[in-house]
Amino acid sequence: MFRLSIKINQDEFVLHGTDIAAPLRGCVRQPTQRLTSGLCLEKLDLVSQGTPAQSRTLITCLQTLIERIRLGHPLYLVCQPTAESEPYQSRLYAGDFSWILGSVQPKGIGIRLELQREDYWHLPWRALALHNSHGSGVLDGLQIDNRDDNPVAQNWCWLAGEDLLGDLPAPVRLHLRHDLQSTDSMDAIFIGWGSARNTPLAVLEGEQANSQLNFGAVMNTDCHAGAYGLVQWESSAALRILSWVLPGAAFSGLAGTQLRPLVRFHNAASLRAETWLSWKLYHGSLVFQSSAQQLTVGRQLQLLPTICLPVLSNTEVPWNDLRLELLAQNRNPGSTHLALDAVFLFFSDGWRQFVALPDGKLAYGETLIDQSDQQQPYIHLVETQTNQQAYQVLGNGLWLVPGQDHVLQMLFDTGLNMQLDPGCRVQLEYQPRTRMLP
Amino acid sequence: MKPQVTLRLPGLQNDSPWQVQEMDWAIPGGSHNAVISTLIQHPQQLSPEMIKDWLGNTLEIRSPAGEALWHGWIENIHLVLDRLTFRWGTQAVANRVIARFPQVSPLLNPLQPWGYSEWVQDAASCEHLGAKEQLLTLTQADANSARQAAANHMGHYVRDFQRGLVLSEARATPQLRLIASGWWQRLDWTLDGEEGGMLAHLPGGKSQQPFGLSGIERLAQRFQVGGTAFALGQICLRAALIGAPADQVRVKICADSANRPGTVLASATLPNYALHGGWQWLTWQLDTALNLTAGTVAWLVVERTGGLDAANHYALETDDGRGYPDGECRIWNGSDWVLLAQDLRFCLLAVAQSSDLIREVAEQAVAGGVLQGVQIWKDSGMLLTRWRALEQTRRDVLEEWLGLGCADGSQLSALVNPAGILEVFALPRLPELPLMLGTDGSLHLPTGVALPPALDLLGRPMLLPGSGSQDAVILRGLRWTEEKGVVPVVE
Repeated sequence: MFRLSIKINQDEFVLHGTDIAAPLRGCVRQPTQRLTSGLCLEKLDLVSQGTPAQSRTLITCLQTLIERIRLGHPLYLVCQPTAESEPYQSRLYAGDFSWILGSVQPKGIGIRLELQREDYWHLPWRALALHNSHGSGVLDGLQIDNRDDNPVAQNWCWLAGEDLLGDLPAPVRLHLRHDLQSTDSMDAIFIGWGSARNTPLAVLEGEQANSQLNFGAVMNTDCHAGAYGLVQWESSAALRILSWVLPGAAFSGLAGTQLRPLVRFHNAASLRAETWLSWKLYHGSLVFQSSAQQLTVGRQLQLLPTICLPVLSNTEVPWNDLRLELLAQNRNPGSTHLALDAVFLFFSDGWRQFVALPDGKLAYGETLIDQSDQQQPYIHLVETQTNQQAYQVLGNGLWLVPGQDHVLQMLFDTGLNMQLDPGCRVQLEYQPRTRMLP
Repeated sequence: MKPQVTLRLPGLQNDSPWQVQEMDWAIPGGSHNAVISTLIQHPQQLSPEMIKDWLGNTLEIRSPAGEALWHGWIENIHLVLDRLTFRWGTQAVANRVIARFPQVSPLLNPLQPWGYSEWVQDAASCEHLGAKEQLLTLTQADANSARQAAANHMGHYVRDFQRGLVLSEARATPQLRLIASGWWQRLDWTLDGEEGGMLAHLPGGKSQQPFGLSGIERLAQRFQVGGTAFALGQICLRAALIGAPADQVRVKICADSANRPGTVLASATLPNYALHGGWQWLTWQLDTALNLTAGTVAWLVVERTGGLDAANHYALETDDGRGYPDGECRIWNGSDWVLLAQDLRFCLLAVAQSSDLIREVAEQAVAGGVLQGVQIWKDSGMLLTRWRALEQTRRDVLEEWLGLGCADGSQLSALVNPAGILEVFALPRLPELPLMLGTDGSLHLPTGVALPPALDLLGRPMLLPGSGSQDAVILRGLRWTEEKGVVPVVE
């Protein structure tokens, strides 16, 4: 152990190593003990040599630290194992200290400091190198589009797992900068996260669907891939309105996982409020059926019920193709038109869904910052260098698994409309975590 | 799975995350109960007034992928401080109260033996917490004293949030524990009643009018439908036998033809065994509801099915006082409809499918902000009277109607979906993909697909270990704890 300290905001109370202050001379770190509470207990034997007045000052200082921990202030134990290594931190949750029996001598005294800390150490935040069609290894913000219909426009990026530090899943901090083409404020923002993947699943285009109903492809330059699929029906019965064949090869690695489908409608304003949509997935036979969800009239981008993928016992043999069916049911019969532009299948190994609070939005020039292990994202205002709240977030966050590639998918709207052309910039940071110090 | 809590508690500043202790779901209803807790770092910052303000607030619990698992509202709060546990809850609160008392004469109204006071309410409490209604039943009172009793009751219970103080043997870390209930349970806060659906003239009773004998062959009462359409399903008259007639009594609804009964629109016959010598309210049920548009003028005609007999015939009670203002009574004397200076005592009841009644009650809950919508997937085909006395809560009547099932024999159930929409459906749901119960109590799908959220599982068929699909049971309850995950609740 090269250096050990307790960090309080920007201040440090050094227990061992450089910058240690009298009367402390150093400390001995006993083996760490795991507690049933899930925390770890650090036993530190401090050696103090100084005048009685210095000792009183030290005791007062320790008492203050313990009290601040008890009050919930963010204090960290910081350990630098060697002179060459970076300092690791661990959040403190409780503490106490006492004299070491028999250690009170004219030359010095021993103090046993017991600290309960988080059961892992972490390094400071560091940027992740992101890749997509707009750049490779970008650390300071990579462009993400709101479409994925040509080699240049991508609503996703990926990062390589081989150079990731740490041995535990680590939280990812997202910086989403709205400073590209469009000046419209961003409203709902959806982020899917796939582990052990470096590409997303192909977008299901509405115009490429199959249908037994009155169906046709309609060319339209405002749509994803330049067209949408228009299906029409009259009945109030539950009907299969569209279906797609999904290539088994792309899905076999996803056995047992769940996909969250985001659908873009071209005729959002003329949707019927009484239309409910659901999914059926066939892999030879019917393997999954979702609940039905009512359409939101007027909103182009809508999150439909989750699709659960099946498992097969033999993972070596490739999967046969799957068939995904979209079913619709109206409460009453009547002419119904559904102009479906595209279905984006998002991974859900991690999930972030930003829901704007009343009057909340991400305006042009602002940055949304979200840390996976915290509930509340915030917006950073560059002009005033201040932060404010505007969003509520749903989902468990984005977590990095060391050694695995990861892919991030994103879509957003500007309220009722989902424009395809705007983009934004995404920067990711992570905080490597480790159970044991090197 | 580590469920995530979405909750806003004004004034609470706490770094510790909320832990979900347990959740359960059941049909009818959906989300049923949930318990969450958090350690409190600064208990001195909490005040009873602040905590009471949290009661009734919305609670959502979501999966790691953001899907809604459980949603409802805070019904009880426990604050644990060392050995003391303070408890607050909404159970005893009443901020909108009405009292009922026995009618002077229960003979006056065949359906309503109670009189009611005016509503008494605390507007500020209703605004903040939402209206929590209560019905007082008094055995001896009049309208004035009933209102006073309601006011006294509300004054006593409008802020009765304190539910207890418990001293434990063991010391505990300061913590808050919230016990929440689903939106279905919130329907218990509102009383159900429907004043529409009844067209009646009930005063009178000291005069009677015989029929079924020479010169007084039939009786007819003209009536007028009010401002809304009326699906007539039941006709009530107060009748008695004179002598011992052996035939039946037929009631017909006829169109108006120059102020006389015209074309027969519907009819119903009451078998003879249903009649007897004493005066009683009798009900004729139409096989199919007769839809009368608003403002329609029609006639209620009563006749016997057998021959005229002066010794053995029937009689109806009438009103020889102020009478029915929207119609008149006539007698068929064998050649003409002759005006009678009395009116029949009659009661016409509108009917509706139970699924339509469910929709109407749910829409009232939508207007009150408790539900976000209603979707009926299955029409019941069961006709019930629309008029209802103020007696049960909305939840009670909904459960009663669901319990009746459908005319085709299928079972009916309902749940509040993650969007807050009440969905009414036939059981079982999604029969093509039954759930399987393992011998260890775990649930799974035969294809290995991950289990969808609990609200999607309720009402599905569940195959028991070692049995075939013919022995499948319907999954009616689920429970989640961190130790066991989601397990079915089997009664």
